[in-house]
Amino acid sequence: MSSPFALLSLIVALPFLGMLFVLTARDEGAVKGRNAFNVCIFTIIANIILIWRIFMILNEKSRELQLLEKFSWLSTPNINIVLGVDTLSLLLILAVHLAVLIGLSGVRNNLYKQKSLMVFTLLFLSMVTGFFVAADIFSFYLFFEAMLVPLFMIIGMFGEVKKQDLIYRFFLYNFIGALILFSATMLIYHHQGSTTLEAVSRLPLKGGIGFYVWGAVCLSFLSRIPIWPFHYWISSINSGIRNPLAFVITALMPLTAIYGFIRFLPPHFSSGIDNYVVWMNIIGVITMVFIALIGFINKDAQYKIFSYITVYYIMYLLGIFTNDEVIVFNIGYSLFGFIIVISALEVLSGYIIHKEEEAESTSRGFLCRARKLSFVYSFMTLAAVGLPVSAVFVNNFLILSKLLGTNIKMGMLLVFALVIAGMTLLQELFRLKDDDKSCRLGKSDDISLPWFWFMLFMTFILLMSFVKPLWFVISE
Amino acid sequence: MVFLLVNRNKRRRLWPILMLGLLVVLSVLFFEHYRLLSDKTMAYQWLSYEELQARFIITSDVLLGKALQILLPLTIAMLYLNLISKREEYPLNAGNIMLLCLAAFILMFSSQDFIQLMAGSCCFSILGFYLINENTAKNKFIFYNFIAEMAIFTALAIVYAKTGDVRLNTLDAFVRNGWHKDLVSILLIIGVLMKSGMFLFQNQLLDLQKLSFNRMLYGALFVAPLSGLVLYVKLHPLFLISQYTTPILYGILCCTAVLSLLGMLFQDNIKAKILYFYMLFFAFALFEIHRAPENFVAQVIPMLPSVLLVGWGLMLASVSASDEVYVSQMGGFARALHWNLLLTLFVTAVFIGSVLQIENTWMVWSFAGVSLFALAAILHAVYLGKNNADEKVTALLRNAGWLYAIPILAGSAVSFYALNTWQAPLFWGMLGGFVCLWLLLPQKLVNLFAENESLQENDWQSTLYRLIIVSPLRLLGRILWLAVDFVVIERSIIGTLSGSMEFLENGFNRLQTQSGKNYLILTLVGIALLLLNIGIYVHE
Repeated sequence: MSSPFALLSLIVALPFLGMLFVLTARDEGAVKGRNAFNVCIFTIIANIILIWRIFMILNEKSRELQLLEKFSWLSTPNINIVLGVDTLSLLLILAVHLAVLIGLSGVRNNLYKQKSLMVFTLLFLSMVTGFFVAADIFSFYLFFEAMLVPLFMIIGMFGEVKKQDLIYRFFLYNFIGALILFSATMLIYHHQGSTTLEAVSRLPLKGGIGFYVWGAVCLSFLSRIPIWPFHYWISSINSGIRNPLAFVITALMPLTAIYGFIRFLPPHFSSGIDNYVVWMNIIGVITMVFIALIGFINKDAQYKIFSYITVYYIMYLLGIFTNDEVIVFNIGYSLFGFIIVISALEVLSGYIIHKEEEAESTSRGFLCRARKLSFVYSFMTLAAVGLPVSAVFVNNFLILSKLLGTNIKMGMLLVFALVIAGMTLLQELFRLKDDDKSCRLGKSDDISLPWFWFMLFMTFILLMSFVKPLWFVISE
Repeated sequence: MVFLLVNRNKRRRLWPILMLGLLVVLSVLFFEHYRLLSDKTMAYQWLSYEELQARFIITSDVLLGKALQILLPLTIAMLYLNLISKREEYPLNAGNIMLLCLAAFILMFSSQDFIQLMAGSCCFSILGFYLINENTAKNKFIFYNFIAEMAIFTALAIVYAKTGDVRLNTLDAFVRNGWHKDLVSILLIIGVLMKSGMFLFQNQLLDLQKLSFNRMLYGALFVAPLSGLVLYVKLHPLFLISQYTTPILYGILCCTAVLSLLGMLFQDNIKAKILYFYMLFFAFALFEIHRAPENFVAQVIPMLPSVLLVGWGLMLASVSASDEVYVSQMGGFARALHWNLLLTLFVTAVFIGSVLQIENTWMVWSFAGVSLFALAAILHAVYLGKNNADEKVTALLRNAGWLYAIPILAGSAVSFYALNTWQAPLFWGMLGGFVCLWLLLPQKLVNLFAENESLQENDWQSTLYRLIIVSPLRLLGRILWLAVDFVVIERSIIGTLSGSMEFLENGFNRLQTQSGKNYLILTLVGIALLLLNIGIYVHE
């Protein structure tokens, strides 16, 4: 199926155009930060409408990439840029847009480098959308690397702890990952001739070449997931960021790696890749337990959320390694709810930390006085720990059953990590609900009514996704 | 759901009255028309994934009808109690949750697959979270229930992994093959015992004593423990596949019974005594259901009104004594609270009647014996013996008003008539025995440990769990964080990498400096590379 009106190019281009608008927006005096913010919101909502439109014309049951758009780039060598989507990738694009929208709600009153933040947010959104619609290895690689530029700038501006050291590490790891993926891309092109992503997973790569290519692919994607021992630098970055939007954006990085694995892994594991999969399973489970336990003892709310996010991302990664098409689809459904939940939690947590710093008071017991915040925060925490208020619940049941069916011991360790990660979030919730007389935050510090309604709308989306994952699709 | 949208601070009594009225009308309609529905099923194709077909089903089968015939009036009674309870700040909220719990029960009881069953069970956890308005109690409730849900979730995930089917009627295939049977069975039994608040997991139930009476009675009888029982009924075949299930279950139920008896006798707080009584009832209920799952509707549900009434009867003493909850601060209330006393005795008679309608087994007699003994001791300490209440409480002693008395009287009368066991001589024998016990038991039996603070106040179970589970986990986390993250990764791996990079950088810098030695080394390296290249070419 080809795309009418080049819709896929449009959803990649629109945030980019929005970014150009933001660059030209006046940003001084009474409108400081407002113009840029409004353009950003408008652009994202417009893109969400376009994404919704694409859902309408998409065959949701098909596993093939649809609405293909092809652009000739080079004739010698023959390289074409191909764009295409399936339900999974479009669902992830929508989730990323909603996550950024939630993140934006958390910085609506921010004045510190607001314009720059909006510029790089829209640039990131454009690149990440391009990454999800990429249907050939070259555009996939380009967008995979290009999204690092805005991310690098955002971390540089808002990563507050040990800035220089973190940016150095961020650049180093991602640069090495990029080089490795580039060499793998070249080898794939050399062996394949064709450049479509769908063909990559069916490549008969055997022997030394297969061993190298799959090793390079795994290593480059793993450099973006906080998997042991790479978790340390990512956790340092995440826990150092105090801007909620910046945190949401950095928390989306592992998603790109998860998606990369979905697109690259072959339907049947050959001898080139099965060794890696075994090791990644082992390292994945160790990391889950490791990070869950560290999150459990850590007192920093940001780190707790980070540990929860990591544990779940690795569960999805292990789900992908089961190499089951149905499970991969369920991971998509589950990720949709998961991303909304973590974004909302992060933004609310950021708000609480901000209020805590503003009033120079402890936040222990804050939720007893802020009813609206308490409702939304409690709901999101309950959704996060897996109680049935989002698509996460049913789909995680399927993912977990597959993992338990594959290897019961590994599955039980995974359950242990999930329980600890859930308890970590509950621990934080009850700290905020534990009425403390020394807390100076009061009813007046509660979230505003419009923001409360916005968050309620997000809970509505979560609830609907529990009833039916693609509830918003009205097929033509 | 509609009432959730109403502002709870405006017309605080009107909305709950409307809610109550609406439920009464709906209940009347239900009783009139339920038989006409006979086994009709409303099904909605909820999930239609390739490998998972889950349907949202509500059936009007006979068993659900029987259960609702009892649960609906009980919910009406609880909504009424919300309304009259002076300590209830938000009766509308509490009422909302109670109605949603009823819906969750229907959802769970009608379920024909794991997904609906788990969704219903988790709904109870979420509703309990919102019902409990005290932070420590809420904390314990959600932690226990979360772990219980995860245990059930994991067990059912294993079953699904092996059978590929979520329908409950296909459990036999799993039972026949017995994959990971011990693990599945033990996970499920732990989940159910946790939700029901049995021995080792009783804290979540006992902490409800921090709530007002209306929320406490509802939370202890109709929220998590009831969902635990429904889970047991629905997944009954899975509990029997392991040889360890029955010993574990019986062991824990026996310990629960002993603990309940001790708690009813020696805990000073009357709310705690009620909760221990409910705990005993649920232990008995689990035993009966384990024997035969049909007993849930046939025996356990019909006992709920009398069990609730006993709690309500004990509550009267506290309400009449200016909300005094310590039994050691009561005694000799019979003269001032004679109507209360008569009502409580009547309620106890209803309880005896409900016990007699159950199949005659040793467990029934044990349950009845333990309950009646403890109840007689409590009632003696409250109504007979020496008055230990302070002067102010004594001066303000009044029989609970008609708002409390009429419903309990009506409820007891209806139950008494419906049970129809009062014609049996055994009934009168048991009642006589109970009255004798009540008159003869010494007051100091109940007040024996009232002054012992470590027994009354200390939360031994939480301390124990903190010591054997939480502290080791924290220690492990700290070791991993400090030893592995800081020492191994940050200092060793990253430190070594940085050191190596620095070493290489220095080496290359030195090679770039102007000296004959460096020139010679670089020339030799170049010649070596050239020779290597020629060698490869010749070899190929």
